[in-house]
Amino acid sequence: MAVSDTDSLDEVDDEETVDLSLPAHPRNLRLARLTASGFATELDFSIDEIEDLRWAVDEACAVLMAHASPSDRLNLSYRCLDGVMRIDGRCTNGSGAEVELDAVARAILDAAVDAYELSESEGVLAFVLQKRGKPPPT
Amino acid sequence: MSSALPICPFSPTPPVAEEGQMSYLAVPWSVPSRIGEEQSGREDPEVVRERRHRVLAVIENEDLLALEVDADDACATVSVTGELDPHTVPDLEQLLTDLIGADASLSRVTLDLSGVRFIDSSGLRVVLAAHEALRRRDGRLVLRAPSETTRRLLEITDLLGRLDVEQA
Repeated sequence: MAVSDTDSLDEVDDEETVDLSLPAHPRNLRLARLTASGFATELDFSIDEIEDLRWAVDEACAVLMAHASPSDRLNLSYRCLDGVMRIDGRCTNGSGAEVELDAVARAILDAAVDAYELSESEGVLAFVLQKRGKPPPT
Repeated sequence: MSSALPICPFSPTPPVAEEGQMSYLAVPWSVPSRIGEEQSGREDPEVVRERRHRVLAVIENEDLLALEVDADDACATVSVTGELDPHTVPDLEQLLTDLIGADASLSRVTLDLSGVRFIDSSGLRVVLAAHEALRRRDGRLVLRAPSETTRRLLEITDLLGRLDVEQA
Protein backbone atom coordinates (compact mmCIF):
# COMPACT_ATOMS: atom_id res chain seq x y z
CA MET A 1 0.00 0.00 0.00
CA ALA A 2 1.52 3.27 -1.06
CA VAL A 3 1.66 6.27 1.19
CA SER A 4 -0.05 9.23 -0.45
CA ASP A 5 -0.96 12.81 0.27
CA THR A 6 1.73 13.19 2.89
CA ASP A 7 3.01 16.64 1.98
CA SER A 8 0.58 18.35 4.28
CA LEU A 9 1.93 16.35 7.20
CA ASP A 10 5.29 18.02 6.74
CA GLU A 11 3.64 21.23 7.86
CA VAL A 12 2.69 19.86 11.25
CA ASP A 13 3.77 22.04 14.12
CA ASP A 14 6.73 20.64 16.05
CA GLU A 15 4.59 20.62 19.16
CA GLU A 16 2.42 17.99 17.49
CA THR A 17 5.39 15.74 16.79
CA VAL A 18 6.99 13.15 19.04
CA ASP A 19 10.52 12.10 18.10
CA LEU A 20 12.14 9.01 19.52
CA SER A 21 15.69 7.80 19.03
CA LEU A 22 16.51 4.27 20.18
CA PRO A 23 19.37 1.79 19.93
CA ALA A 24 18.33 -0.46 17.06
CA HIS A 25 17.92 -3.54 19.24
CA PRO A 26 14.74 -5.64 19.44
CA ARG A 27 14.48 -5.10 23.20
CA ASN A 28 13.44 -1.53 22.35
CA LEU A 29 10.48 -2.57 20.21
CA ARG A 30 8.40 -2.28 23.34
CA LEU A 31 9.25 1.43 23.63
CA ALA A 32 8.32 2.05 20.00
CA ARG A 33 4.96 0.31 20.56
CA LEU A 34 4.37 2.12 23.82
CA THR A 35 4.97 5.51 22.23
CA ALA A 36 2.61 4.69 19.37
CA SER A 37 -0.16 3.60 21.72
CA GLY A 38 0.34 6.61 23.98
CA PHE A 39 0.26 9.01 21.06
CA ALA A 40 -2.82 7.35 19.56
CA THR A 41 -4.60 7.39 22.91
CA GLU A 42 -4.11 11.16 23.10
CA LEU A 43 -5.74 11.39 19.66
CA ASP A 44 -8.79 9.38 20.74
CA PHE A 45 -8.08 6.40 18.50
CA SER A 46 -10.21 3.38 19.41
CA ILE A 47 -8.77 0.40 21.24
CA ASP A 48 -8.65 -1.67 18.05
CA GLU A 49 -6.98 1.18 16.16
CA ILE A 50 -4.38 1.50 18.89
CA GLU A 51 -3.69 -2.23 18.70
CA ASP A 52 -3.37 -1.90 14.93
CA LEU A 53 -0.76 0.83 15.36
CA ARG A 54 1.17 -1.23 17.91
CA TRP A 55 1.33 -4.13 15.46
CA ALA A 56 2.29 -1.94 12.52
CA VAL A 57 5.04 -0.07 14.38
CA ASP A 58 6.37 -3.32 15.76
CA GLU A 59 6.52 -5.02 12.37
CA ALA A 60 8.08 -2.07 10.58
CA CYS A 61 10.65 -1.44 13.31
CA ALA A 62 11.50 -5.14 13.52
CA VAL A 63 12.32 -5.20 9.81
CA LEU A 64 14.66 -2.22 10.15
CA MET A 65 16.28 -3.58 13.30
CA ALA A 66 16.94 -6.90 11.59
CA HIS A 67 19.15 -5.06 9.11
CA ALA A 68 20.77 -2.58 11.47
CA SER A 69 24.17 -2.86 13.08
CA PRO A 70 24.25 -3.19 16.87
CA SER A 71 25.59 0.33 17.25
CA ASP A 72 22.97 1.91 15.00
CA ARG A 73 20.05 3.96 16.19
CA LEU A 74 16.48 3.80 15.03
CA ASN A 75 14.91 7.23 14.69
CA LEU A 76 11.14 7.45 14.88
CA SER A 77 8.82 10.37 14.35
CA TYR A 78 5.14 10.30 15.34
CA ARG A 79 2.86 12.98 13.91
CA CYS A 80 -0.82 13.61 13.44
CA LEU A 81 -2.80 15.98 11.24
CA ASP A 82 -6.54 16.01 10.59
CA GLY A 83 -7.03 12.64 12.23
CA VAL A 84 -4.26 10.93 10.24
CA MET A 85 -1.39 9.51 12.25
CA ARG A 86 1.90 9.16 10.46
CA ILE A 87 4.95 7.35 11.78
CA ASP A 88 8.32 7.62 10.07
CA GLY A 89 11.25 5.40 10.94
CA ARG A 90 14.80 5.24 9.66
CA CYS A 91 18.13 3.63 10.42
CA THR A 92 21.32 2.61 8.68
CA ASN A 93 21.24 -0.57 6.63
CA GLY A 94 24.11 -2.33 8.35
CA SER A 95 23.61 -5.63 6.57
CA GLY A 96 23.33 -4.16 3.09
CA ALA A 97 20.68 -6.78 2.35
CA GLU A 98 17.46 -6.02 0.55
CA VAL A 99 14.48 -5.32 2.79
CA GLU A 100 11.74 -7.90 2.50
CA LEU A 101 8.52 -8.61 4.35
CA ASP A 102 7.36 -12.16 4.78
CA ALA A 103 3.74 -13.09 4.16
CA VAL A 104 2.67 -12.87 7.81
CA ALA A 105 4.23 -9.45 8.40
CA ARG A 106 2.77 -8.18 5.14
CA ALA A 107 -0.70 -9.40 6.12
CA ILE A 108 -0.44 -7.59 9.44
CA LEU A 109 0.64 -4.31 7.85
CA ASP A 110 -2.01 -4.59 5.12
CA ALA A 111 -4.70 -4.91 7.77
CA ALA A 112 -3.33 -2.61 10.44
CA VAL A 113 -2.70 0.66 8.58
CA ASP A 114 -4.19 2.53 5.64
CA ALA A 115 -0.85 2.91 3.89
CA TYR A 116 2.77 1.96 4.39
CA GLU A 117 6.08 2.07 2.57
CA LEU A 118 9.41 0.42 3.20
CA SER A 119 12.39 1.77 1.32
CA GLU A 120 16.15 1.63 1.08
CA SER A 121 18.22 4.44 -0.33
CA GLU A 122 21.97 5.00 -0.14
CA GLY A 123 22.38 2.72 2.83
CA VAL A 124 19.46 4.13 4.82
CA LEU A 125 16.38 2.07 5.55
CA ALA A 126 13.12 3.86 6.11
CA PHE A 127 9.44 3.22 6.61
CA VAL A 128 6.32 5.34 6.64
CA LEU A 129 3.03 4.26 8.21
CA GLN A 130 -0.26 6.11 7.95
CA LYS A 131 -3.52 5.45 9.70
CA ARG A 132 -6.66 7.52 9.96
CA GLY A 133 -8.67 7.24 13.14
CA LYS A 134 -12.34 6.58 12.63
CA PRO A 135 -14.57 9.40 13.78
CA PRO A 136 -16.53 8.55 16.94
CA PRO A 137 -20.18 7.57 16.40
CA THR A 138 -22.59 10.52 16.51
CA MET B 1 22.00 -12.03 29.66
CA SER B 2 20.86 -15.63 29.84
CA SER B 3 21.92 -18.05 32.49
CA ALA B 4 21.10 -21.73 32.71
CA LEU B 5 19.87 -22.93 36.07
CA PRO B 6 20.84 -26.39 37.31
CA ILE B 7 18.54 -29.22 36.41
CA CYS B 8 16.71 -30.32 39.52
CA PRO B 9 13.65 -32.40 38.67
CA PHE B 10 12.85 -33.16 42.30
CA SER B 11 12.80 -29.62 43.52
CA PRO B 12 9.43 -29.03 45.18
CA THR B 13 9.16 -25.64 43.55
CA PRO B 14 10.38 -24.43 40.16
CA PRO B 15 13.53 -22.30 40.18
CA VAL B 16 13.00 -18.59 40.18
CA ALA B 17 15.28 -16.28 38.28
CA GLU B 18 16.75 -13.23 39.93
CA GLU B 19 15.50 -9.91 38.70
CA GLY B 20 16.68 -9.21 35.18
CA GLN B 21 17.90 -12.74 34.67
CA MET B 22 16.52 -15.13 32.13
CA SER B 23 16.26 -18.56 33.63
CA TYR B 24 15.98 -21.70 31.58
CA LEU B 25 15.54 -25.11 33.10
CA ALA B 26 15.92 -27.57 30.25
CA VAL B 27 14.36 -30.78 31.48
CA PRO B 28 12.97 -33.33 29.02
CA TRP B 29 9.31 -33.50 29.91
CA SER B 30 9.25 -37.23 30.69
CA VAL B 31 12.47 -37.42 32.71
CA PRO B 32 11.19 -36.73 36.25
CA SER B 33 8.79 -39.65 36.40
CA ARG B 34 11.43 -42.11 35.21
CA ILE B 35 13.97 -40.84 37.71
CA GLY B 36 11.36 -40.94 40.44
CA GLU B 37 10.57 -44.58 39.77
CA GLU B 38 14.24 -45.54 39.83
CA GLN B 39 14.88 -43.79 43.10
CA SER B 40 11.98 -45.08 45.09
CA GLY B 41 11.77 -48.60 43.74
CA ARG B 42 8.05 -49.19 44.18
CA GLU B 43 5.86 -46.23 43.49
CA ASP B 44 2.23 -45.64 44.23
CA PRO B 45 0.72 -45.11 40.72
CA GLU B 46 -1.13 -42.10 42.04
CA VAL B 47 2.11 -40.58 43.28
CA VAL B 48 3.77 -41.23 39.93
CA ARG B 49 0.83 -39.67 38.10
CA GLU B 50 0.96 -36.65 40.34
CA ARG B 51 4.68 -36.27 39.89
CA ARG B 52 4.32 -36.36 36.12
CA HIS B 53 1.84 -33.54 36.27
CA ARG B 54 4.11 -30.78 37.41
CA VAL B 55 5.91 -27.74 36.28
CA LEU B 56 9.03 -28.90 34.49
CA ALA B 57 10.49 -25.71 33.20
CA VAL B 58 10.36 -22.02 33.92
CA ILE B 59 11.78 -19.40 31.63
CA GLU B 60 11.80 -15.74 32.45
CA ASN B 61 13.10 -13.00 30.23
CA GLU B 62 13.39 -9.90 32.40
CA ASP B 63 9.83 -8.84 33.11
CA LEU B 64 8.78 -9.25 29.49
CA LEU B 65 8.04 -12.95 29.16
CA ALA B 66 7.51 -15.95 31.42
CA LEU B 67 7.05 -19.51 30.19
CA GLU B 68 5.97 -22.47 32.28
CA VAL B 69 5.82 -26.05 31.10
CA ASP B 70 3.53 -28.61 32.62
CA ALA B 71 3.50 -32.16 31.28
CA ASP B 72 1.36 -35.21 31.76
CA ASP B 73 1.92 -38.41 29.76
CA ALA B 74 1.83 -37.54 26.06
CA CYS B 75 0.60 -33.98 26.58
CA ALA B 76 2.38 -30.80 27.56
CA THR B 77 1.06 -27.35 28.32
CA VAL B 78 3.17 -24.25 27.91
CA SER B 79 1.75 -21.22 29.68
CA VAL B 80 2.90 -17.99 28.08
CA THR B 81 2.73 -14.74 30.02
CA GLY B 82 3.92 -11.42 28.65
CA GLU B 83 4.94 -10.14 25.25
CA LEU B 84 6.07 -12.13 22.22
CA ASP B 85 8.24 -10.10 19.86
CA PRO B 86 11.66 -10.59 18.22
CA HIS B 87 13.36 -9.91 21.56
CA THR B 88 11.53 -12.58 23.55
CA VAL B 89 10.41 -15.07 20.92
CA PRO B 90 13.77 -16.94 20.77
CA ASP B 91 13.02 -18.18 24.32
CA LEU B 92 9.71 -19.70 23.25
CA GLU B 93 11.28 -21.09 20.09
CA GLN B 94 14.05 -22.80 22.06
CA LEU B 95 11.63 -24.18 24.61
CA LEU B 96 9.29 -25.65 21.99
CA THR B 97 12.20 -27.09 20.00
CA ASP B 98 13.54 -28.79 23.15
CA LEU B 99 10.12 -29.96 24.27
CA ILE B 100 9.02 -31.43 20.96
CA GLY B 101 12.45 -32.85 20.21
CA ALA B 102 12.93 -34.43 23.65
CA ASP B 103 10.32 -37.14 23.33
CA ALA B 104 8.85 -38.52 20.13
CA SER B 105 5.77 -39.78 22.00
CA LEU B 106 4.68 -36.26 22.88
CA SER B 107 1.56 -35.92 20.78
CA ARG B 108 -0.17 -32.80 22.04
CA VAL B 109 1.22 -29.44 23.05
CA THR B 110 -1.13 -26.78 24.36
CA LEU B 111 0.00 -23.18 24.31
CA ASP B 112 -1.96 -21.31 26.95
CA LEU B 113 -2.07 -17.79 25.56
CA SER B 114 -4.36 -16.28 28.19
CA GLY B 115 -1.46 -14.28 29.64
CA VAL B 116 -0.15 -12.95 26.33
CA ARG B 117 -0.28 -9.16 26.24
CA PHE B 118 1.24 -8.79 22.77
CA ILE B 119 2.20 -11.06 19.90
CA ASP B 120 3.52 -10.19 16.45
CA SER B 121 4.58 -12.04 13.30
CA SER B 122 7.71 -13.42 14.96
CA GLY B 123 5.53 -15.13 17.58
CA LEU B 124 3.16 -16.46 14.95
CA ARG B 125 6.07 -17.90 12.96
CA VAL B 126 7.23 -19.89 16.01
CA VAL B 127 3.69 -21.11 16.64
CA LEU B 128 3.42 -22.20 13.00
CA ALA B 129 6.76 -24.02 13.14
CA ALA B 130 5.67 -25.95 16.24
CA HIS B 131 2.33 -26.72 14.62
CA GLU B 132 4.11 -28.15 11.57
CA ALA B 133 6.63 -30.14 13.65
CA LEU B 134 3.84 -31.83 15.61
CA ARG B 135 1.66 -32.35 12.57
CA ARG B 136 4.46 -34.24 10.83
CA ARG B 137 4.20 -36.92 13.51
CA ASP B 138 0.40 -36.84 13.78
CA GLY B 139 0.49 -34.63 16.85
CA ARG B 140 -1.42 -31.45 17.61
CA LEU B 141 -0.62 -27.96 18.72
CA VAL B 142 -3.54 -26.27 20.46
CA LEU B 143 -3.77 -22.56 21.20
CA ARG B 144 -5.76 -22.08 24.40
CA ALA B 145 -7.61 -18.95 25.45
CA PRO B 146 -6.14 -16.32 23.13
CA SER B 147 -7.31 -12.80 23.94
CA GLU B 148 -9.66 -11.02 21.57
CA THR B 149 -6.67 -9.09 20.24
CA THR B 150 -4.61 -12.23 19.63
CA ARG B 151 -7.60 -13.84 17.98
CA ARG B 152 -7.98 -10.83 15.70
CA LEU B 153 -4.31 -11.15 14.72
CA LEU B 154 -4.90 -14.81 13.84
CA GLU B 155 -7.84 -13.74 11.72
CA ILE B 156 -6.08 -11.05 9.75
CA THR B 157 -3.13 -13.34 9.06
CA ASP B 158 -5.50 -16.07 7.91
CA LEU B 159 -4.20 -18.50 10.56
CA LEU B 160 -7.38 -18.94 12.56
CA GLY B 161 -8.58 -21.71 10.25
CA ARG B 162 -5.18 -23.42 10.10
CA LEU B 163 -4.50 -23.69 13.83
CA ASP B 164 -6.46 -25.43 16.57
CA VAL B 165 -7.85 -22.80 18.90
CA GLU B 166 -9.63 -23.50 22.20
CA GLN B 167 -11.47 -20.74 23.95
CA ALA B 168 -11.27 -20.56 27.74
